[in-house]
Formats: sequence, structure tokens, C-alpha cells
Amino acid sequence: MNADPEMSSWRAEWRVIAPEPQTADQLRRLATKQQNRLRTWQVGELAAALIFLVFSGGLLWRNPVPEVWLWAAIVWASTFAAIAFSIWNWRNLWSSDVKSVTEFIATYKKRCLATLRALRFGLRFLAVQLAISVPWLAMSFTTKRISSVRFFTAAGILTAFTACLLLFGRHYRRAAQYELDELNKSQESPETLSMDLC
Amino acid sequence: MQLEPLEQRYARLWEMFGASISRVAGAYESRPELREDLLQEIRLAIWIALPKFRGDSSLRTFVFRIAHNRALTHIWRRKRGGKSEEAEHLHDARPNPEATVIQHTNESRLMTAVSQLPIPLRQVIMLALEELPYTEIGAVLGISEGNVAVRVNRARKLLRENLGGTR
Repeated sequence: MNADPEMSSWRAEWRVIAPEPQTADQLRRLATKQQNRLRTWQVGELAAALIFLVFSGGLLWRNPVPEVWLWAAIVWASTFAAIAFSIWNWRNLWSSDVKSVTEFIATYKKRCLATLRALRFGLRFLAVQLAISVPWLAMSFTTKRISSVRFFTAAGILTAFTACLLLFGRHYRRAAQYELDELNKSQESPETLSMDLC
Repeated sequence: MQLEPLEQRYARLWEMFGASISRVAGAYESRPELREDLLQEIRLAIWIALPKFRGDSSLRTFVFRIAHNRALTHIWRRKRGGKSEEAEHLHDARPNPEATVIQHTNESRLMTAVSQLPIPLRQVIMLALEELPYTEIGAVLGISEGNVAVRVNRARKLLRENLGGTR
């Protein structure tokens, strides 16, 4: 390798580029700060899941009819599925760092595809929940089982909940799709990219 | 055997590979503020992975894998909603203000030329410039030695052209 003057001169030039010196203390602080930020995000996700569980549990406790049982069961199933997916996603994100670049790309691609699948799954769950909640709410109102105040409050909560989930879903779908497209673009084979050199 | 504290291992690792990691970050990200973000992401990833390092590969392979994997994640995510750096390079061959800043901050024209290579070629040439043997480059990237050799040749040809254009 040393008999290659071009490479040797490039290496000499390359090695001149040096980093800002950093103390171990600075590094530890930076890492701790970022880890805390990630932990906050994870705790936020779990808190949101807890709110869904408590809210659906409260509704069921106040009104334990079969339709609410069915709705609550769907909310619980989807919330637990979301928690499981989130935990898998975070574990996967950090543990794949030490793999080779090729394996990492394959894992990352799987992760993006899994996110897209999970979002599709979530939207279907939402459709099922709406298919149960909306007719049940309308019927309860028309048969005067609930007052207009309760009906409009419940309808408002349902609309806000649906809008939030749709916005959240759209944001994550776009992000995952974007990353997947960028990943595919960046991994275009060098053979294709430099055909003129062959 | 008692392991040395994580902080010490980390500091020692940074002493050994800090410069190389900074060069990896520089070749993937030319904008200084984003490069600092990328460097932090790499540091964090190493900090998290280091306690699990059991010597299955060399420490250098371990560090370069993390650095390249984090850098890839960084570039897949950073361009959302904005104009990509590669697109700027493709559509405008004139030196942009960022490139000028880079040159003025004593960074080499070689770094600029390397950062303009397609990613698969950029990865091999960066590792070759860090004097990793082909076997180790293959281990970092997860490709065969033969494939490394082919990519290095292509990268060198393109790099020569890029350097010719920036002289």
C-alpha cells in the first residue's frame, strides 16, 4: 500500500483533518443529555398509552354494556400492540448500530417497512373503532339513553381523538416513507452510478 | 478481571478514534451545525454500545460500523422537507457558500471531493484513507474483499476527477 504514491498523498492530506479536542467530562455530559432526551420521548409514548388505557377503562366502568366492552377491548389490544412495537423499535434502533453497514441497512429497511405496516394496521383499528363508536353514540342519542350534552362532548372527544391519530399517522407514514426512499436512493449500486467509468 | 469505568474507556476510545470519527462525520455532512449534531449522534451511539463490546470484532471495526451506520441514519433523515446536499452538488457545480466556509476553516479540498462521491464509494474510500486493510473494510461494510477492491478502484477514479475539478 505504501508503494502507492497517490493514495499516500491523499492519506497524508486526509489525516490533517482533526477534531476539536473534547474532555471525557464533556462527552459524558453530551451523551447523558441525549440519552435523557430519548428517555423523555419514550416516557411520553408510554404516558400517552396509559391515558388511552385509563380513559377506555373509565368509560367501561361507567357504562359496562357489550358495545363498550367491544370498543374497550379494541382500544386495549391496539394500545398494547403499539407499546410492544415501540419497545421493539427502540431496542432495534440501538442494537443494530454495531452490525456491519450492509446488515444495518437491511435492518433499517425492515424497521421502516414495519413502521409503515404498523401504521396501516393502526388505521384499520381506528376504522373498526369508529365503526363501533359512531353508530353506538348516534343510537344512544336518538333513543335518549344519553343527554345532548353528553352526546356532543363524546362526539367532540371522538373527533379530536380521530383527528390526532390521523395527523400522527400521516406524520409517521411520511417520515418512514421518506427514510425508506432516501435509503434506497443512497444505496443505488456504485455500478449504476459510475457506469461511465467501467 | 475488573473493567475500567465506562467514562475512561470512552475517553480512551475517543483519543484513539476521535479524529477518524470526525472525518467520517465531515465526509457525510458538510454543514458545520449539522456535522456537530451527527458527531453527537455517533458519540451517543458509541456510549450506548460500548458496555456491550465483547471483542467479537476489533475495536476499530466496532467504532467504524457505528460511525457509518449513524451517519447513514443522519443523511436519510436530515433532508426531509429540504433540498438535499447531494442534489445541490448535482445541480450546481460552482463552489457554494458552505464549501467556501469549509475551505476557510482549514478543511481540505480532499474532504469536499470525498463528500461528493456516491455513498457506497464514499464509504470504501474513507475507510481506505484511514488505512484499514480490505478485510477490515469488508467487515465494517459487510461486503466481500473483492467487492471492496472494485469499489475502491471506482472511488479513486471518481475522486481523481473530483479533485481535478476543484483544483
